Amino acid sequence: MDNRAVLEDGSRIARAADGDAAAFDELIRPRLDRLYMTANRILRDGAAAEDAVQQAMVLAWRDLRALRDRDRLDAWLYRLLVRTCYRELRSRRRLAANVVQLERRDDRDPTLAIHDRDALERAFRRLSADKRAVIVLHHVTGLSLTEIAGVLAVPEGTVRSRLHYGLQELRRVLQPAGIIDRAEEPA
Amino acid sequence: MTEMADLDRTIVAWLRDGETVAPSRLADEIRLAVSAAHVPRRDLPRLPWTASRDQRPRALALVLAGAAVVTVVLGLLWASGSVAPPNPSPSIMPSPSGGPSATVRPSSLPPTPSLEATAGPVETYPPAATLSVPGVPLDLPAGWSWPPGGYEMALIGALDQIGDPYAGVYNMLLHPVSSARGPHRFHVASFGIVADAGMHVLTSGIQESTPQLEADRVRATLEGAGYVVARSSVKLATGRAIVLDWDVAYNGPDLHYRAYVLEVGGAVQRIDFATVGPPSKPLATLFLDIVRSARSG
Repeated sequence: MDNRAVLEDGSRIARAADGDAAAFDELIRPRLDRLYMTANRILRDGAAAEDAVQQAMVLAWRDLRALRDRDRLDAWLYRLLVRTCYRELRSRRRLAANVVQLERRDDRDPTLAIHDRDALERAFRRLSADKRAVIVLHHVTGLSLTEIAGVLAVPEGTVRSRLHYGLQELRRVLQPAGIIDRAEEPA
Repeated sequence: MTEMADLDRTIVAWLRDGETVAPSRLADEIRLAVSAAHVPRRDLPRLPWTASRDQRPRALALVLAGAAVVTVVLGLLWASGSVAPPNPSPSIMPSPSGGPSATVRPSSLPPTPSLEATAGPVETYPPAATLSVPGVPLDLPAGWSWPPGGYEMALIGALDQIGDPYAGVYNMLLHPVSSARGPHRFHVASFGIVADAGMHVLTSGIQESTPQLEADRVRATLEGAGYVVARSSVKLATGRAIVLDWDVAYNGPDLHYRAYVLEVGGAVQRIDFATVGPPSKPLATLFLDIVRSARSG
């Protein structure tokens, strides 16, 4: 983000903190796609992701004045979003509706076999919310481990550990009959 | 190694695969939700001393924080006998802002001791006491003291300014969801400077006749303001207390609030606790012990 954009954001934050809803709208609109994408990948559910983003943005609007370091707006928004996702995941577990909804779309990566998708989907849903968040923030949202540590307010070593063990669990479901091995098998 | 890299590429491709654009209606829905959850900005929990922090030089905050460190070091030296003891009698320092304590501290509370008395050597660590809320005595273990005075508020303001999240615990003094007044107490860990937990006992402003109804009312108020509230309950000797938990975004970790709504002596009481982030297990146990000690008197 260039200096001009940073200054404009600073001005919008100040106005939004004083109750200017239009300034808040200008502030979050350019960020919505990435926030939605992050929530969608953590929750694996588009409707739940919309709800999570909406809840997080309402919290951000309400508590914007508590944001002291305005350069850290994005980290703060991701923090609110991830916590909202955690709550959503917790409430879903309480409901115990153990139905895996797999999206069936034609624009998905064709190199991934259906059963590999299903296996990854199931494995990802078994991951703890903490591991899901770290994997998505790093590999989808593109945050560094240091940035994620700031977002989640945990040590960087913890982020590294969650990422390592989370990916390990996902790799495990691909390895026994995974696409890599199968591709190398003789016909 | 190559195989692992291939697996990771497969996983990342799967993760990234899917929608990358938010539905167009989402921005409009957020705008509506924001207007419905409008919060009067003047009611947001801020320390009065730091209300005009933008005009204050940052150096002042650092100087005050440095003064806190010097105070603690002197206190420790004094405890070890290396330095002559300062005036041991508690003193009241004037508020630098001309009076957050007038609006913050209930007038019935005893005078506020200086920092040396609240956060210094072990000898002056707040002893166990009974908090005499009208009709509901509570047993407070050691470490709980009354709200800070002007000097401490200045110190807390300095910590608040340089981003110390623990200063945020004191924001519960002004929290808009606790409009009813009642005594506050703050917990300082051994050798701590600022509180790691705050407590607010509400003896007035309770509008409902049972803990369940009061908890529902409080929860509705909080959710109406956009907070996400978790409700649970805990069994006490006098009956069941309803427990409400919610977070308030702050600089650094969130402030976590836990309210116990219970019936004591035929009346509904509410005890709020605030911590930086969810309470640690020892603090959570401490809170529950205090709640369990509530009795009619």
